[in-house]
Amino acid sequence: MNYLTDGLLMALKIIVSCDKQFFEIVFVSIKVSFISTLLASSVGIPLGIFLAQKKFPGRGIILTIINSLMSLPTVAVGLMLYAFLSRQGPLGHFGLLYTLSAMVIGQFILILPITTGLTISAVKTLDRRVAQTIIALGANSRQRFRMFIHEAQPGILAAIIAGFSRVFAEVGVSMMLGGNIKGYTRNITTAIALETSKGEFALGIALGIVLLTVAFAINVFLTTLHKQTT
Amino acid sequence: MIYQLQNIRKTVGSFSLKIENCQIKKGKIYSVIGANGGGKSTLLNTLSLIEPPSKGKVIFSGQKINYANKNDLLNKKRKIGYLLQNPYLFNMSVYDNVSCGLKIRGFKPQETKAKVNRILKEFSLTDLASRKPSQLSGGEAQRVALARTLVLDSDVFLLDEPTANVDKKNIHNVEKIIFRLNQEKKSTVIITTHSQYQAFRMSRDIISIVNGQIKDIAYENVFSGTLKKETDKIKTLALSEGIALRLGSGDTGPVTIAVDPSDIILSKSELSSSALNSFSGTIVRLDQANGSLRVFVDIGVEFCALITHHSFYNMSLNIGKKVWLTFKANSIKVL
Repeated sequence: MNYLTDGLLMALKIIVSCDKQFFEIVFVSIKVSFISTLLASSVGIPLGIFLAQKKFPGRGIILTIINSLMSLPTVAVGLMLYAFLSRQGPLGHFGLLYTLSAMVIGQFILILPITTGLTISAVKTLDRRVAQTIIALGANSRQRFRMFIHEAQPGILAAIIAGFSRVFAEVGVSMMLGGNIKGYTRNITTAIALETSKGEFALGIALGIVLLTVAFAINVFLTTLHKQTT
Repeated sequence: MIYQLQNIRKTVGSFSLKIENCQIKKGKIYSVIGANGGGKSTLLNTLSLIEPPSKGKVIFSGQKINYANKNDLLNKKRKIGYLLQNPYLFNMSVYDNVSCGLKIRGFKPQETKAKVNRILKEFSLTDLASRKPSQLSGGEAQRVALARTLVLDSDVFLLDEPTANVDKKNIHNVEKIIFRLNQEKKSTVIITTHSQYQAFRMSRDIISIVNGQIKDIAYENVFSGTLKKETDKIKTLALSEGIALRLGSGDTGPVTIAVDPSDIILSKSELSSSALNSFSGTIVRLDQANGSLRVFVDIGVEFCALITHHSFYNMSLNIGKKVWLTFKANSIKVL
């Protein structure tokens, strides 16, 4: 039990002392998660709206694949991309392994099925008159897309929050593709894994508490944003 | 002609719309009547150009619709204002709902604002402008959807049951606005309705749809005019000079009436009866109607009466013969 109380006290101490190294770790987590969520949302939301609306041969198979990939293990993504990005891999010459870019790519692949799949659900559960009304008003493709986003806003925001939460808390991709390099690719989750492996449980718990607090704050922000826009 | 439908087939599930030939004239108001599931909404859907027919040709403003040419189709769709049956309001304020169609169609902000404010006022929705759809009653939501369609300044308005859920007081107002648009903008209006009274109030051109096919209309001898009081119980409606119908019901003022052809007694001489309406005229044409004859008599205006073949030959009637038409005051239906 000492671990927990020590961890809590250490968490408070770290936050209050404005430890530079700690804030670097938090900044890497937020930066990489934000960029990967932004990219995955930019691709996943339009793709989700398209797949929810259009019917074409093979659509059912694509939807099944997307749903299956929503539970993709982070280490599987990490391992697969490692094989591609390592020096001997087909994309090794780009020198991306153990960089923030590699982490972003891995996290993007990890949550693309989540943002796409949840957007599909959000649009498919809309009243069928939404599409009819938008078309009847004479909307072109771009305007239709914007109206769908507006009407499916709560579901789409849930897709973004779910995607962000997944990457913010994942460790497999960050560890395998980022390499947990101090001051460069070390983020909250890889730091927790490192401290725990060193036996520094209190520091690990402290970082865990910080992780939860930051995740909670970001979700509160996104939810408030949603309430203001509806 | 604004629309020409030729050999149209539109299959929706087990239902099929079959229209051999239908022409809609520019600038007129049409009422589409028929039972539920009869094909009224499918017809409007086809006219809206949103869904192509399974077979046949749709000609709009003289041009055959090519559903593969998306840009041209969008431009044509934007000449049409379509109110869906049981319309949907977007999750935004009443003002934004009403203005969104104008924004989609590229109207400038100042113009949009002026148009929206005018239509909100006309529909008595100004006070509700900032409300969300969840804060509206069924009738208010219907009026918002109607305002969103009618604000569009379209060449054609397709209104699928526009006054469903609207209270009596506002029905009159909605009809007034539709008339205004028809008069001012020369817009063609096609409305579907369950109410034959509304259909005849709105237009002289009725499209009756039964089981997906256009049939002969249910009412004939439809006239409009101003009902005036003659005595406490009797009112008169002047049809032309010297020709006035006498009615027992109806409020004074503008009315539209219909007389069922089967309620009209045709005779060679004036009948001595209690019927208040008796006119002489000349048979101008004849038409077959389900085992009977439709006899069209010119009494200053044209009336249609129904008579059996047997009676027609027994009375030695023919085109050009003089006859009398007699019918009771309560045979006149105020629409």
